[in-house]
Amino acid sequence: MLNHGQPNCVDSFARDARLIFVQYQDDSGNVNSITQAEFTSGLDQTFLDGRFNGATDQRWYLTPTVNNVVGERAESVKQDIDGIPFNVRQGIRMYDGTFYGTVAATQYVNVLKSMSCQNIGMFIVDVEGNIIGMSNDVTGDLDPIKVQRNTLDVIYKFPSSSEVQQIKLMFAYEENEQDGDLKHIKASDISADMLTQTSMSTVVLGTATAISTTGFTTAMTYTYGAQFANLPYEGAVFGDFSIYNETTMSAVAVLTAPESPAGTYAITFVAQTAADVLTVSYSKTTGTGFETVTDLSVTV
Amino acid sequence: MSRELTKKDINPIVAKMSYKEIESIFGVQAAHVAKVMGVKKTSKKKKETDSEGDK
Repeated sequence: MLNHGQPNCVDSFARDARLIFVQYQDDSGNVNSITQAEFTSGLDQTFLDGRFNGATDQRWYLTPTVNNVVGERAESVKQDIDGIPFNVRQGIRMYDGTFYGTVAATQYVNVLKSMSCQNIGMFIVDVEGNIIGMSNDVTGDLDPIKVQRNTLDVIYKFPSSSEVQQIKLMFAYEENEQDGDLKHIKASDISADMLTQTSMSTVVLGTATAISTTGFTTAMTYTYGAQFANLPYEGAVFGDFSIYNETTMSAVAVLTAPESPAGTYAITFVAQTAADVLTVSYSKTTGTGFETVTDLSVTV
Repeated sequence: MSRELTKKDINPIVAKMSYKEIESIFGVQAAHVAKVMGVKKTSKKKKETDSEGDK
């Protein structure tokens, strides 16, 4: 039995503001924790940029603000024996939160559903900017909270005359996660505002036009927007484009990528041989991240 | 209309290219790109005496 004495004021966390989803383990099998060593060297913007823009097996996928969160644990499952309710196992804790308004675009439904069937975990960012996870008594690290596989449910609700559009997100905590292990890293120990962080975005390279052996033009968009009119992606610079010549199997230096009009880039590169096939991708991993997930193929 | 390219919009390796190469890649913008990157057009007289061409 443990002692019940407590200090006068024990730090606690506040209501949820955002969620950070992450593969529970990276490809090497290591839990994607916030380690004691990382905490000691400082949880700053550089650390966060590395997580938000990192390799996909370690990346933090940060949601927009989530509201109306209900996360109740069901009562323990009991077996009645001779009228005595014996505990069998703890009840399941469900997560139930809703995204409202512009962030609840229908395209985001697919993004949330892409986490289904995966071994994912999550950290919670509360409204005070604390990060909540699971304290690991063995390693001393803060582990992600395990999400029970195949329990994720995403429901879109159309806007009405009195309500904005919304996406309801529901899932169960992994059945063995213990509430007593929930712990937080205080916002005051994080030298960046967790509530204003931005997550990696997917951008798309549009069909190449005005193709020559030294350049082509492409319109870049987000995956969000109206049919045939996704929102343009502005602000790309030449250094974030990569071109690979599939014919000669060599990298091609991008020289310039001026933007005009917004979201349309005239990319120039070192002269290639006519009929060579180029593969073009885009990746910005400093600050707010943007990346293509599908390469653009261009025959010059 | 596209804004004029500045040095930060151009890959530094362009500074090592010949004017002729810049012309072939950038077309009508070549003069501006070459000027921004400090690449000079080799004079015809020099070309005759320099077998390496317009470097």
